[in-house]
Amino acid sequence: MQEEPPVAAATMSEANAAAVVLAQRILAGDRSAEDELVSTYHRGVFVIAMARTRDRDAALDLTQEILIAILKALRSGQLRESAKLAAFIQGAARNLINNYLRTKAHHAEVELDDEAYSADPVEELESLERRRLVQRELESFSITDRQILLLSLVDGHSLAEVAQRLNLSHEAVRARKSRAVRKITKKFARMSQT
Amino acid sequence: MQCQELHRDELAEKYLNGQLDPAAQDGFEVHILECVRCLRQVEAVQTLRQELDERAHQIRAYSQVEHSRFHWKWVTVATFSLVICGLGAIELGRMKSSKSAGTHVSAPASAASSASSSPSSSAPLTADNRPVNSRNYINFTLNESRVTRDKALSTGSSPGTGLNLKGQKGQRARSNLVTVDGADATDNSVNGVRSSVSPAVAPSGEVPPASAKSQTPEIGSDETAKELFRLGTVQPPPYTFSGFASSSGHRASLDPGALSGKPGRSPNSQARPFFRDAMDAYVDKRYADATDLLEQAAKAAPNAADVNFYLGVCRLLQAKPTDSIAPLQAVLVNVNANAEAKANDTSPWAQAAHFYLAKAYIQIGDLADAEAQLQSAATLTGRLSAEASSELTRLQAVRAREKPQSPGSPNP
Repeated sequence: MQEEPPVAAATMSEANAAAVVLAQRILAGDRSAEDELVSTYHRGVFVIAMARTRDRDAALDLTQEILIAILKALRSGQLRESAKLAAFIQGAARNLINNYLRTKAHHAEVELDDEAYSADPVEELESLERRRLVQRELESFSITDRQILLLSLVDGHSLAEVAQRLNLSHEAVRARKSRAVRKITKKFARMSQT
Repeated sequence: MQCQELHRDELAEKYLNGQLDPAAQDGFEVHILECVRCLRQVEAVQTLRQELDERAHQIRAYSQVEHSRFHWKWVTVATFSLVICGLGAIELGRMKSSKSAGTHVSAPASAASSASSSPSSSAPLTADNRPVNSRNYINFTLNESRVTRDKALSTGSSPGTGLNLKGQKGQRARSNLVTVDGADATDNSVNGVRSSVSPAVAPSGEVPPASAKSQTPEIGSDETAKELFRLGTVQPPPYTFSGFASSSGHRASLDPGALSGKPGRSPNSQARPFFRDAMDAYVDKRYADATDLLEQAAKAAPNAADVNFYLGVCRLLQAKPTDSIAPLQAVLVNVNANAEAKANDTSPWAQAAHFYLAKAYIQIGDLADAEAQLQSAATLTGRLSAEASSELTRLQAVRAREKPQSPGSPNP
């Protein structure tokens, strides 16, 4: 995971500037800007929903609800500081997910009149392709590597605990885990570029 | 938040494991919404985690097989060494007997038959003809000229082995444990029959029923006993840790404290630390430790389905089927009390509880109740449906076969 170069501050401010323009265009009623917002933030929102709910179906539903709620809010000018669009989206996502977790309301009553967002089949295919990639990579890993990944990523054990359980050195566990995760991350990045 | 922090501190993993505090979690989420590269990394780890979660059972099972291979290698070495020592002792006994014919204890006639059933026999080694089943420890040991019969009573609360080694006086032969193939000559029962080593070879990770043969009133033939043994065998159900801040449906119903962000207030929250430690022990196959911890968890949260379920399973795995029934039934009582779960059939515990209750009933010989539990498990949807149906069919076949032979059976 340490191979990817950090994003430069300039790139981040460019992203902020683009977010400002995007929010203003949505406020002005530009429908293409709404599509742009959905395609830009859809994956991020899904990752957040998935991480917080650990339920893929619920995360898919929540992603739609969150994006719809954000579009409605942006249309009505509820975003005070357009430079903080990402923080606004994160806040909305957090609140809606927390509401879901409290009430387990799988279908929120937020509706958009005529252009309700639906799951993108291309996105679904990409998601499937990502899973296949991970499956292939996992098959290529040794059983020890798989155990290290399972104990640390799924079971939540520290590297020291994993090392103790597998009778390996801490450094060996760290290196093997890092190498495995980096390999998959690189393949992911390559897939996204193509 | 900077990208460097994310890489250096492995924040993606901590985030996905629910190990970040709320402020750090918010900051992290804002960052991945702005930074596509970091988002990709989180997606990669998330997908990897998901795949690992789905294969967890397979990976753990594989590691158990590896562990088991390692273990058996040393068992084989130890057994081989014992056999060599035994043969040496026999040879030594013969040499001494030829020298001092009138002073030794002669080997009984059955020694020959005992020797014929030794591992060197040409018969294939199966569960029914393992050497440990036919070896006569006493005859085996009496080949040593210094061994005499112990005059102490061989019955009572702490009976002797019946042997005295090297002419020791005033010391009970009980302390002279003779261990052969992992079995000793110790009487494990009180005033009872000397315990024997189970003839069945249980597969790795499985626990055979406690006493399927002795307690089952419906068992007629040996074939039936074997089939019931197989039906009563318990495979430990997998347990997958899914984060302390887990929030999937069923967990949410078990631990409202965790979801409301107020851990440590509800009884369930008090039970969680015990439960987590218990599950650590469970994954390590330390079922006795897991049982102790689960009992403490059950005191704090007597209605927690997961606590009761794993407590029942752990007791089953420790060959305590009778003790496992109460916690497993508690799971079902709580599930049924939850009208919503019952209506939606969403409880993940109901099917498993029925299934393992059936195992407990089989082990104690209550086949009618076992059949009822398997029927319930088979009708519910879940990963055990097929297995429950299959075992139900086999159990029904056993019962149908045995009915004519035992008309007075208490469980028709």
